[in-house]
Parts: sequence; structure tokens; C-alpha cells
Amino acid sequence: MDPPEQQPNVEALVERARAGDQAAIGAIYDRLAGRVYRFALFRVGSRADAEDLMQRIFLKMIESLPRYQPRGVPFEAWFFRLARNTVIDHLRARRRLQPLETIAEVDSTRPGPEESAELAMEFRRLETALEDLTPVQQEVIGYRFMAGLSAREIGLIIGKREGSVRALQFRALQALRRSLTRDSLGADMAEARILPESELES
Amino acid sequence: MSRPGPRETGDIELMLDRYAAERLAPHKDELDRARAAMFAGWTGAGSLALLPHRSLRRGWSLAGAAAVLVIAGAGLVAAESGPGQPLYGLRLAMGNVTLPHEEPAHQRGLADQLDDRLSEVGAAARTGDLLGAQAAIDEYLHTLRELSRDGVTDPAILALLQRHQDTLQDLLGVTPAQAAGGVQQAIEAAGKVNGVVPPIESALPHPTPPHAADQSPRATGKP
Repeated sequence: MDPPEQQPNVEALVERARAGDQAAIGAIYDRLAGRVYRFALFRVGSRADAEDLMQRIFLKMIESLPRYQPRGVPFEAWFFRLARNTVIDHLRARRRLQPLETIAEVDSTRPGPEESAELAMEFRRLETALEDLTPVQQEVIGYRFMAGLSAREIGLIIGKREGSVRALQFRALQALRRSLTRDSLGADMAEARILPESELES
Repeated sequence: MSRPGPRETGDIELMLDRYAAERLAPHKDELDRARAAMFAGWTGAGSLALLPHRSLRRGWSLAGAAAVLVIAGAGLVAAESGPGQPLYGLRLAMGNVTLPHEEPAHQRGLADQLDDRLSEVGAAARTGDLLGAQAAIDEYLHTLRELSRDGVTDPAILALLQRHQDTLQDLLGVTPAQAAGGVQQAIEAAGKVNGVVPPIESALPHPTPPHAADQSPRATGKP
């Protein structure tokens, strides 16, 4: 996933799209679809809902493009603000925040081809650690790593300064590191206590 | 022993990147469905659609799915529609949806479309099908405009346009008089695209020497 600053000329694509260029709309879709899907799945935990949300977000984008002001917020920040609002509406309609473990449950039916059992366990630990973050830390992690946005863009979306976003991200990463280190030590101790009989005999 | 825990926040960043790429990535069928639903909400014709707001959570999915079914159903009929027939435009629009968006694949896709349109112009002209010839030449000009929007430097496309000019010149003799103006316009337009780039001979690829044609690792069996 290329960081946004390495992707040239999205504003030019938007201009063409606003003028009715179908190819430009397709190019914008190609640029953002994977990122918005990952962001939505991270937030709602269900592939079916993430796909549903992705469709709604792009339809809203088409609906809202005539009102987008190119000289205001950068396009990707504008787009993910729209995505954020759509996800929030979805979560409100569902009336409860779906726990992040659902991601693992849903995805385990279709694991990636390269995904080993060890990696799957690592991901489960990560998901558990993510659950312990504060909601705003989770949100920042979602924008930064799932949507690939910069601190500045995230700040524009959630209404915080770039420095505050960086601090939130740093604290979230520290919390994850602590949680995963603790988890890893705990797993080692558990393994040491529950050794198979065969190993005890040898 | 289990794996050691992460020592640096950099390790966590790598893990999150990997998690996003491997666990949260969309499947191709999910992307295809969302793309189809998005284009179903697009009116085309140079304007953006203003879609009605729907509050039902599944509303968009149902609308998207219905639109996909309509498109698929119409597509079966449109796939057989030639120039001048009612669903010809839909057939071409469906072709545009699947066109790659990255260069150079995008321009090459348009060049393939241009080739198809020229074949249609020829077929219609030879059978005296005035409406078909006009429709195909209109689409030819439209595709040529799209192709030349950002300039053409691909030698293969430039060579194709050169051939098209010759073919169109030949077609002038058999095209119904009412459509001949469009063919003339296409000849001039194709010439203009060639005119904005270096001379075509210098841009053409050099022929591959016969002894160098099959030197790839796969062909030679070398690693």
C-alpha cells in the first residue's frame, strides 16, 4: 500500500470525475477501494457489512462530488470523513459496537493463502490487544494503518492537530507493545507449565 | 517456546501493516460487486448522478444488487448489439467499466477498442449500413479523443494509428456519402494524434534479432 503522498494527482482525477469522466471515477475507486474496505472491516468486524459499507460510501462519494471543494480539505481526507460518517451511522443503527474478535471469526473461514497457524495466532493476539485501546486510539490506528492516511489527514477528519494525532498514535503503539509483550510472556509461562507428557519423560 | 514479544513500536507498525494487508484485504469478488454498484449509480453522459438518500441499512446493497442484475441481463442482450442498434452504446459502456485504469494498460485498452470500432466502420460501410457506419465512426472519434487526452507516446499505438489512417483512407471509397464526412474527420484526428509526437519511424520499436528472441530465463531454463 503506497502512502498517499506517493500517489500522484488524485485532485486531478477528482476534477475529471466532476466533469463527468467515467474513467476518472474508476481510477479513484481503484485507489481507495481496498483502503476503505480495510478501514470499514476494522471498524465493524464483518466482511458482509464492510462490503455493504464500501458500496454505500462510494455511492455517497458520487452523490457528494459536485459539492466537494478542491481548495478546502484534501480529497482523501474528505473521502474518509464521509466514510467515517457512514460507518458511524451504521454502528448507531446496530446500536452496539461489534467486538473486534468478530474479524477473526469471520475471516477464519477464508484465511489468506500465506497465512500460517502461527501467523493466525499472532493476529488474534493483536486483535485482543487492539480491543484494549481507547476508542480514539483505535480510530487513529484504523486511519493510519488500515486506510493509509497521514497524521495531517487524520487530524482533519477527527478534528485534532497533527501533533495530537502523532501523540495518540505513539501512545496506541506503546500500549499495543506492552500488551503483546505481556501476552507473549504469559504464553511462555503457560507453555512451561503445561508441557506434554512425552516431553516431561524425556 | 512461543515467539518473543515485540521489542519496538516499529515491530508493532510492521505487524499492523501485515495485519491490514493479509487479514483485512478485500476479496476480488467484493471489489467487483462494489465497483458495479458504484457505476450503477453513475448516470454518465458528462454529469454526476444525484442519488436519493436511503436510510435502510440494506437499501444500497439491494439497489446495487438489483442494478447489477439489470446490467447483467441487459448485458446479455447488449453483447450482440452492433453499431446503430439500440443497445450498442450500452455494450460500449460496459466495455469501459472493465477497462484498466493504470497506464500503459489503459491506453492499450482504448487502442484495442479503437481497432474494434474501425472494424465495425468497415463492416457497416461495405454493407451500405449508413446508420451503423455513422454510429461506429462517432464512437471511433470519441475513443480517439479519450486516447489522445494525455498524449500518445506508446510506439505500438502510434503504429496502430498510422495503419488506421491508411484503412480509413481506403474506406472513404466505399462509405455511404452521408458518413464519409465522419471518416474524413477520423483520418484528420488520427493524423493529429500522430502529429503531436516525434516522427513515427523513430518511435517504432527496433526489430528483435532472431537469435535474441528466446533468451529469457524461462525459455533457456536458466534460473
